[in-house]
Amino acid sequence: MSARADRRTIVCPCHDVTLHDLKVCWDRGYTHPETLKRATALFMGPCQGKLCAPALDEFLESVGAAPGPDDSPARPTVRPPLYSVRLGELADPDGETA
Amino acid sequence: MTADRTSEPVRFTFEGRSVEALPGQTLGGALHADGVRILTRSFKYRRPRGYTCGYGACGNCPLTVDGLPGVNACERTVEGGEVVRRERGWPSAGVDVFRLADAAAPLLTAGFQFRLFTKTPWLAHRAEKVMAWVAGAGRRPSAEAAAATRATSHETRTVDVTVVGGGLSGLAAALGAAAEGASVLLVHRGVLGGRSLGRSGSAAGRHRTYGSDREAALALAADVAAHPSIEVLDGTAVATFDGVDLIVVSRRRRIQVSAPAMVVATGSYDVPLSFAGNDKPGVMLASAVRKLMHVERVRPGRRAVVVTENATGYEIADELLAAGVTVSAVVDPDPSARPADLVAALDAAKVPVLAGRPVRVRGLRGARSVVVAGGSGTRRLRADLVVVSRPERPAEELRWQRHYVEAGDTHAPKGAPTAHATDRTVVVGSAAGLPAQTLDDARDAGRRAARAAGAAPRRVDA
Amino acid sequence: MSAPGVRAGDPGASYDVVVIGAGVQGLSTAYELAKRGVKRIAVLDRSWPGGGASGRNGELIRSIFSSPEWVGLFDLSLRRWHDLSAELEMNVLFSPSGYLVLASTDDQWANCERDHAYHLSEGVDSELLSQADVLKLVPALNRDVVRGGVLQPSGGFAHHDAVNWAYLKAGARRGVEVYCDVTVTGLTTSAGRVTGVRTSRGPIAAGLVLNAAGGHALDVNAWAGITLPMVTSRLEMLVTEPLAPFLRQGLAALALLGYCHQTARGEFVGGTEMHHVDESRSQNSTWDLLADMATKWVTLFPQLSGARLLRHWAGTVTQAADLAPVIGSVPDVDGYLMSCGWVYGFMGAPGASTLLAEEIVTGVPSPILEPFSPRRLVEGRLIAESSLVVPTGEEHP
Repeated sequence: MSARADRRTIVCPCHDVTLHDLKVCWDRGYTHPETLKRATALFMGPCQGKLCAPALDEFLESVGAAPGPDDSPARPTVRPPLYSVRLGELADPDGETA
Repeated sequence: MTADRTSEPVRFTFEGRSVEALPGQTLGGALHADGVRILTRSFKYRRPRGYTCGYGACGNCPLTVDGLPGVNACERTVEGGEVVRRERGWPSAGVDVFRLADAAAPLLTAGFQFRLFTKTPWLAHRAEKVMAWVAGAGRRPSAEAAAATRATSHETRTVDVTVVGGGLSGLAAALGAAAEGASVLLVHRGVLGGRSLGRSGSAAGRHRTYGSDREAALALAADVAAHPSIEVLDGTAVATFDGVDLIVVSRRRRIQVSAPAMVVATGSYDVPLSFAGNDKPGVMLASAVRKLMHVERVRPGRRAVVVTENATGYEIADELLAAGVTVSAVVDPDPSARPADLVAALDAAKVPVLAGRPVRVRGLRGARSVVVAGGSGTRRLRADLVVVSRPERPAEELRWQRHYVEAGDTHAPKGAPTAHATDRTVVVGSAAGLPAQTLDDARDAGRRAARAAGAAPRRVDA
Repeated sequence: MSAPGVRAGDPGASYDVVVIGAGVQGLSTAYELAKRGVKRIAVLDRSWPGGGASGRNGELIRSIFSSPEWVGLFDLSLRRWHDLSAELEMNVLFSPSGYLVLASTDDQWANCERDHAYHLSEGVDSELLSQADVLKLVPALNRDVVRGGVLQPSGGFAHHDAVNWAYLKAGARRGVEVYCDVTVTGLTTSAGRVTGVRTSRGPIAAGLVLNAAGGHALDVNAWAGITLPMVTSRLEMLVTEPLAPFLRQGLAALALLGYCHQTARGEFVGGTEMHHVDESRSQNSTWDLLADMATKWVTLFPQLSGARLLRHWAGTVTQAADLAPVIGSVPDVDGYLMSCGWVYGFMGAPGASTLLAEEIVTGVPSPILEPFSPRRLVEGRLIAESSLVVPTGEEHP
């Protein structure tokens, strides 16, 4: 695919990261899922990877860097929350703690 | 919450005008039916975005509802009276001046902020303030909306088994655990039955007595709701932690759950496809299209192209035809790999099946056409709906969290989702990579969880 | 490779300096050494650069502390921050938007008044703010928790990944060799002198070994036979979705044991501590801290009740009883230095690395670094710094 097509291909809708961005950052040397995440903002939006993780997997496959069956998956650490919730829902209710 | 359709249509206010919603429709569905395809503008380039995944996973449809930003339109059932606005976009999300950022995209590639203004700190500081203002896009919860989100109580639950996810497999597992004598807490976001409510067929052999996944889901949901040993929480499982089996937020209650065993029935995510213009309104994932058609009762588009890598895409093409949508083509990199009868059915309906891939979706405010490349060259097909159907991937996050707890640290487990199931953490259904798992197997998994929790089997007459 | 500047392949057999840990201390000190002409420097990390506390911290920067020791070190560091992007040729997104220390009680306010007077006497930029002043500056604050505060206009925050990458690249340009996925498994010693490291890729000889291993620093010290009264502890933070700007400054709230800021993308990032030290080496997130953070942030900024939480993470540091960094050497162990015990490591790195590198190259001890020597812990000369928002394990005012 041409660079122009890559610029129009969104791999991370949350932060508008394009396939071109992914390739450029990879070529620059951000070749660990955590550094690639921080360089592109992939995995850092409201979806926290729910939508963009497969695009990363396919990209790693395309550059011959897909993790093998004995490697850890190419993901940042899975952190709370499983789905975004409001901070107020997690705060101690006014005047009350269990 | 079960799918109850006995009530009247309701109305809400959308950017100053009144919009009708059928009972059970979400804001996203109602707006789609109303012709509103642009639900938000993207964060950086202010590209238009619309109904994409249907289940709150993709972040493409946040609305501000009654002063609270970030409400996923596809998940929020309309109750009536809401005041709804879109976010981002000036003067509106419909026509956004900041779309010009898209034209400046080559300058704004990922990491641009680390290369600009290195030698001129004062300029960097000014630019940062502008960026913050643009990025923030005026999104701020109103004081009333913020106060209304605050938890009003903290509660605890102690049960034998928690089931996270009330889709078909989760419902079956919950019933299986309860049949084994366990007390069960089931947590589910949205309407019990999940994606199954959108499936009018079912995988062969999945269940014996029901005509479709949807029918099975409605029946099991009713059984679960009526079961004395199963409590259903309509809410979100937040996380599992060291020493705290599960935290749930449900209707302004913060709930701490202790349970020796957990069934992970978190389902799966639809997988998008990479091609130019793949984020435009009208490009929709398989589950979202089915949800619009069968659950929200909204025609998803006028003229569709189905891009598929599995049999599901062919089924959806059939369903679209039945819903009165013109299907310009089914595009499949390998049609010969699909069941012959599915391809034949489309042939009979005069829907071309093209061997190829989408190259680009065109359209300024949403899909207007799609360019497809295949053996016989490229063609451009008119379409306001481009369905993407690919094998789904398991929602593995909760299983990994359980593993972190067991391991004591954040090291990812290796291998397939089922490889790390212990009896105290049982994974079922598409979360286990088994989208066609039979209900009997899911029930058995629930039983195993109950036994692991030390539940005593009930007598036969229970 | 994992980040630009990291070397492919295996480290060489010997170096003048081997740095354990490619975090902000290790990378900045390596850069400063190379800048001063040290030739063969290797930085080793078991994971990706900045993967420890350096990539997980709250990113805040100030020098308005209460003790001469802290002001001495951190003010020098703050001055470096202002020129760092230009020198390292990468925009580290240093935002001198101000740093506000918030007092909620009369006692804390009295401390602020005293500290402010001290700042003026040291020529550190500092403004004493009444409740009304603070609320004018940050209208989104809950007035019930605002008694007043101290503002440092030249303080603020930066982007931790950019800083790590900038030091990495600038060092690499000057010949620093950074290797990742190399786990140091031990030290080699000979007659009271550390002579190198043992690694997962084989042994490496070194004229000098620098322990900049963050949350793993105590293991490394143990290999050198060094036991100091320090613990490893876990800190946690959270980030919300982007919101319209409501907080310009970096903020430390004394009553909440919390620190926070809003990024240029609009995300609110903040961490809090409870009154006990969480002596855990695990990087798992905990429920206690999530509830603590949510409650405190919603109390401080009521609108945050409606903000969506995106992520809650944890990281580990090592800390001494006085929460001051532990920098320098110990008697009877030659060829070995440490720069650890950092709880305020992000803001202190530009200053500490400059001074430590200078000390290493010239052999002249830095009077600014001396109070932070490991010897203070053995000799009981703890530093009394009262303007911190991390618990020492004792009752906090």
